[in-house]
Amino acid sequence: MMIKRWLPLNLNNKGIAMFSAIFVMLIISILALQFHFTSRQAQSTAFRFQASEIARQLAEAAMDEAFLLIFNETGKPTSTLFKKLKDRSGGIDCSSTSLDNLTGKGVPIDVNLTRTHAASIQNGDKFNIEAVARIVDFRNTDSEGAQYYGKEGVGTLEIKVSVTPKPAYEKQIQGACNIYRHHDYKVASIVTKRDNSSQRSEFVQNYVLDYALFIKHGQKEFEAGSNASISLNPEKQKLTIDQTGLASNKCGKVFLGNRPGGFVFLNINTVRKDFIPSQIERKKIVEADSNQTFEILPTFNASVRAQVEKAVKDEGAKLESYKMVGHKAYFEFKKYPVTDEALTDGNLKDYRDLAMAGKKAKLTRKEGLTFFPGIYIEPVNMLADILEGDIRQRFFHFGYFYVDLSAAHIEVTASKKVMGKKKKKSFTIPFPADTVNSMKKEHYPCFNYEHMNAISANNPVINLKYVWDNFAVSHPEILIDIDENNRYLKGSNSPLPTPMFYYYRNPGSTSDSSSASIPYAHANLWARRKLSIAMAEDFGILEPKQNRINLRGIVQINEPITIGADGHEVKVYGQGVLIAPGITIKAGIKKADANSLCVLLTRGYPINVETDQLLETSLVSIGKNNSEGHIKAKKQLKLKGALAVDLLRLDQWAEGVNHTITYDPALKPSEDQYQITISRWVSFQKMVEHEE
Amino acid sequence: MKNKRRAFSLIEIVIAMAFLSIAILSVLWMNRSSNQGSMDAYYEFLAFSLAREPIEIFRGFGYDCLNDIVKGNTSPPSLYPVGSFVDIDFDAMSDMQYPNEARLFQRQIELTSISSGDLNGIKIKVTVAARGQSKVDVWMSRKAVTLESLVMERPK
Repeated sequence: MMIKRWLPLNLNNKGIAMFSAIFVMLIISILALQFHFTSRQAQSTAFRFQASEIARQLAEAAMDEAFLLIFNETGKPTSTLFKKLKDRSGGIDCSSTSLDNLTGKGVPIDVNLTRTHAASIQNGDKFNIEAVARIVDFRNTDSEGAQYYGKEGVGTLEIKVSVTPKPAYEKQIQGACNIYRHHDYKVASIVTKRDNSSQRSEFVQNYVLDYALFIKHGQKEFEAGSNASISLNPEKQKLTIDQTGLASNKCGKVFLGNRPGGFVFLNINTVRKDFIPSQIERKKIVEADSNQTFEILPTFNASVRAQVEKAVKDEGAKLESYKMVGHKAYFEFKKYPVTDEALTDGNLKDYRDLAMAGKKAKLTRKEGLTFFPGIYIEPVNMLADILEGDIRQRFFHFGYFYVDLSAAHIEVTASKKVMGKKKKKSFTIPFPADTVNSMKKEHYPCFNYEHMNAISANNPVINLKYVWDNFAVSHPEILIDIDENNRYLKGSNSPLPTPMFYYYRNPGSTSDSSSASIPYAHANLWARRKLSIAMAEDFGILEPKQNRINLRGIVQINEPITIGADGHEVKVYGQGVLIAPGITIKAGIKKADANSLCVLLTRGYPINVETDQLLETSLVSIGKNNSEGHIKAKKQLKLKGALAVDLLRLDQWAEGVNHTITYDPALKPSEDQYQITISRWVSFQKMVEHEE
Repeated sequence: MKNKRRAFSLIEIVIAMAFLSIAILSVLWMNRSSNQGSMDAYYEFLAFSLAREPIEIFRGFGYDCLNDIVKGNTSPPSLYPVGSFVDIDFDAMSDMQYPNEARLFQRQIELTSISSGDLNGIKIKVTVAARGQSKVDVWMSRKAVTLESLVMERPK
């Protein structure tokens, strides 16, 4: 009974067992199929996951490679990519292209290494790997709206990498990956072309490289202290700026920093006597007769009178009158460079110093009291092409009174009572030979009575008031003077051009190109900022052990740096500017190749040069406002490049040596030279898998 | 007569049993196949994840560090030895916790320097294989899973 109940077979339920069995089988089959599909799905997912991962790894590798290629290529100014990026040409500039139209735009980047790698890995050869670079943003103005120079600017470079299945595998492989990365980049000019025959028309932050020597506060330095002008005309230092052999369009300019309306002097010496633009000497400006001669020369007159009176007395007569006959008395002048060897000793030196002191007192300004030639600029026949500003030379204009008694005698008229009647008698007295000879040697200095009245009033030798009243008004050239009206030129006295940035001693605003003057003022274009020395070494910018400096763009280090600490010559690779709060140079600096260019810059901190080896670099020590940036050459300076400073302070350089600046013609390129720096940091990234 | 109608003939039963056997065997075969595929997918996924892990970490190290490891100037992290196959063990105290079944695998990390022109890079190759005779060896269709990547030199 139990068995019967348990058994599903119920002879009364026809076909139930069969249907039940079929139902169970159906359910099992459906579950089995479901499991099968799930399993297939899991396998598919696993394979798809693998394909996607391979695509992503390839995309990451291609992105790394593309960035490295772009980074390396943009470090070579001759490369095609550099030129495209600089000029924003060749289809790379998509900054004005809408996002919808970006597909296919940009410059292809050949990621061969990743492709080779892909071909060697499982399923890797089934993918296409493409990379493009394009500019998606570019700004050629700073945050204040000031225009950058030329092609300078900051932008954003987008690198897009696509890894997609090749057409033959599109159905088999569904993995794909696109990566978009943005890197900021900067285009900064390091050195720019400059037409030497005209001024720049806009601010460019490297303008100081136009100059072999640029002194920002030259006037202030020239007038400073009791020993005014010694900085430019020191006794024991000599600086030669020699550009012999350079074409005029390749020469570096020289600007000594005079204020508007002011000027500075460079003393010249006997060697440059031919700088005197007008007559060096002139004889017989105006002649003086016998009475005028006696008025001019009271002592001489007294001597003659004594001689005459003695003769008359010997005759027993009474002196009526006397005069010179046959004499030659003239006012004349000669010009000497203020440091002429003739002026190193004796009366002429005293006359010059008196004239300078008188002029200074009269004009109440510091004229520069030192008389040493400190700076030499060569070649002299190109000075008009080299100099800017108002640089003058000085001459000692020696005006004097000269008397020649070689053929002269004194005609005396005397009276004598003969028989109670007064009878006139004339006779002549010759001048004694020693008097003739001594007068022949004598040149009576004609000081400016107004400048020198304190001295003149008690001058027994020459009556300067008489000279002033009777001769100087109509013939001012007879007076002693310091002639300061001559430019530091040979054979010309034409005004020299004023540098565009000279008037603007304050930092100004970069938004106003007419008032900007700070070199490398656009900090936004600097490649790196506030690096420690350790970071600079870690980044490979400074390599002290290899004696290398690797430059690319403008780099600021926030600690004083020492170059060539071990005394070995340092080689510079690349182009760029190193900014630091103090620089010490202990060994020579050499350009690794003709395209290398190095500028060492401090913002008003001193640059110490402690080597006499050649420095193929430019030194800039210019800060803001009244900063006193300068260099200290503790040994002979041999600079091939540009020197730009707030103050020169030449008198504090090493003594007894000839410091030299030879301008590097590479600083006068025919085309602007830029550096492009690409940020290593990713400012934006998007990864899209399975987009295609 | 009535009783005769109610019974199946032997032939009917044999034929029914045959159909039933085929159906059951098909289901069983499909089930086994599905089971195999699922386990294969699971272990493939696990192996691939184990291969992906050091790739991601080594990518994070960057070129310089990897280059030092290649040159022998520095050692790789102890969890990621380079060179030979190393068993992946479960260690409750480890910083890196893996699924329990990860210990069925062993892993080999290889670093190779590559270069082309100015470009330098390190190729990372990770191979994950079954650890001896285990379930993985039975279920996973491939002997090993390999994943490779490139880490390029990065400008400083």
